[in-house]
Amino acid sequence: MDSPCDSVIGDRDLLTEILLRLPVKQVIQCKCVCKKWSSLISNTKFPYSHTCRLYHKYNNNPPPTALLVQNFADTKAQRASIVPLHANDNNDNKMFFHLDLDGCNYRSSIMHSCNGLLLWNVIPTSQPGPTSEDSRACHFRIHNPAMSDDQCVYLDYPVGDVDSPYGDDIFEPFELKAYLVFEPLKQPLSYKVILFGQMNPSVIYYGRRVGFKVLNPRIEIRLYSSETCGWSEVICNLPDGLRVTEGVYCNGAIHWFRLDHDNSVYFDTNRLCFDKLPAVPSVDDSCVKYFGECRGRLHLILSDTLEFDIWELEEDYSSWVARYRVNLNRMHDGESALWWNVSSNPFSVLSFVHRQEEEEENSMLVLFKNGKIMSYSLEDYGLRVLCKVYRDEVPRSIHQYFETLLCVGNS
Amino acid sequence: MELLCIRQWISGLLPTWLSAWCIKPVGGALVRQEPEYILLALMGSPLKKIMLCSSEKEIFSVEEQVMVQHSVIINNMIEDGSYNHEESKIPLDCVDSKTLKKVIDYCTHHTHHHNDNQEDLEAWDAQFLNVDSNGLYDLLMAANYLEIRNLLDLIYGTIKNMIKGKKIDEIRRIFNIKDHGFTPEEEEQNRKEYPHFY
Repeated sequence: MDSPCDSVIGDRDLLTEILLRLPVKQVIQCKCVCKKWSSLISNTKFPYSHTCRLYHKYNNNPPPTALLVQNFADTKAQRASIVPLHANDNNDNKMFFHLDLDGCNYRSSIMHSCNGLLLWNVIPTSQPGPTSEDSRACHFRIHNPAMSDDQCVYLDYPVGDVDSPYGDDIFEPFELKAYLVFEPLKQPLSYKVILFGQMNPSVIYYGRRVGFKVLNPRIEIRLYSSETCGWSEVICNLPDGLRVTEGVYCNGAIHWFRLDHDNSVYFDTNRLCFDKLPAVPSVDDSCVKYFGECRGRLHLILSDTLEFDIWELEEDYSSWVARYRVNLNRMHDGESALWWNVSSNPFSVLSFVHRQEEEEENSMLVLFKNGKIMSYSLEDYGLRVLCKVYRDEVPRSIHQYFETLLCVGNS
Repeated sequence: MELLCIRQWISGLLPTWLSAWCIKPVGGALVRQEPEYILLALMGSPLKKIMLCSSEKEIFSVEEQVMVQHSVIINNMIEDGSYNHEESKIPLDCVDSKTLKKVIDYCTHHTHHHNDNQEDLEAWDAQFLNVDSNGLYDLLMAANYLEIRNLLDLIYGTIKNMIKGKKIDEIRRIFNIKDHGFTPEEEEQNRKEYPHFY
């Protein structure tokens, strides 16, 4: 007769219930325990059920478990460091994410991280040789780094200006920002990729009879939808003075915040149009210290001093509210109080992670100073070093990340 | 005054040694009866009881209210009238006596002490689940069969903590998985890809 243990894990329903309650990292570990568990987890319904449960627990906005920091100067390595946000995650993690690429011929970087999927931009640095199998031109890759690399979507760059006599040239903007829109709770799974390109001014010569056409510097927007499996150009009214800079993705829209000229706008990926953000009540000597997103809400820090407010945008986009007060003069490292050495470089804010009252962890600010990335708890004022980057310049490419079981494969 | 309050008031007045004496035969088995029930029965207002029969044919008498509050299956049986108080007992052929007694203990405690503060309840739960792993799995199957939501959540939480922070070899040992079923190549691939799990 079966032992009670065998009866329990032999029962598919009971085993599923046990696995559904585990955090994502442990589920991935359980995939390696035995073949039976692996096939149960890989079954198409399980990742979706697990994701629904997880999102339900966090009110549809799970908190990030790590920050991804790209080592730009380290071009050979081409990888993103994973900086875990919580102490107990340190020991059992991978250190880096990177694509399996022929490092000499390609350059890759993470453009965006959305709900557990990463969007990479892959650019050949030289002409790929005729014999290399993976000889593709510029393209994007979308994959779930927590699961094995088999399921990866390859997206070639869209075609350039169709009116141009250069015909099939690819979309090659001077500045490119790309965003991945992935809403995991929608069935069937679908995603969108939005590109914002700052195009060079250029002159096209159509021949002696026709003459020149001058294309002014302009912004072009391209959209890829997994439902149509194709790129399309988005034509809409562009706000004045819009520049393609790093925007913040939140709730299906990409936001750019500018303090001057009341010029903060956002692009809605469903309605495919621009709209304005409400103005922030004016503060003396304001500068944009931090503009970011966490768990479906936008946050803004406007002051360079050690005591400041964190503004949060209301859910209906009606106004900004000063939601948290931070006093960096109050901090300790668990043993003794700390003080900033204010004569040296000011600190930078990399991220703000807020937690609800019911959750165990505290809301925290992720700061950077003197080559160290640190977390500062808003509740107990504790400062903890998360990792050392040994570089003085502020890391520019920071992405919040949490693991997911869902994958988007080439179907 | 509600019957439950009367019962608790009486139990507060009685000395604990009295419970050892209160045994009565029910359906061919001897069942321990809390003294307050006997007193109430003597007073002429018995609380409604139901009979649960384990796989070993042992009968347990328990307050209907207690089981109806916790077990969806028993609640449904009583509501749709398939249970007759005078004569029938509910046969639970897949639950042995030891497990059934534990389940009844859990439901009874949580009904009678539902006003206690959270910490006390959690401490009691932790003590309650201080059993060997076989006992835990038996409880899980019983709670699953009877559909007792809060006991199930409690046991799943305990199993989750058993796995937390363990390496794969330890997990295989905990669940008695002797043959993992992967080919040597697959196992090698897993170890290469996730070295921190092993």
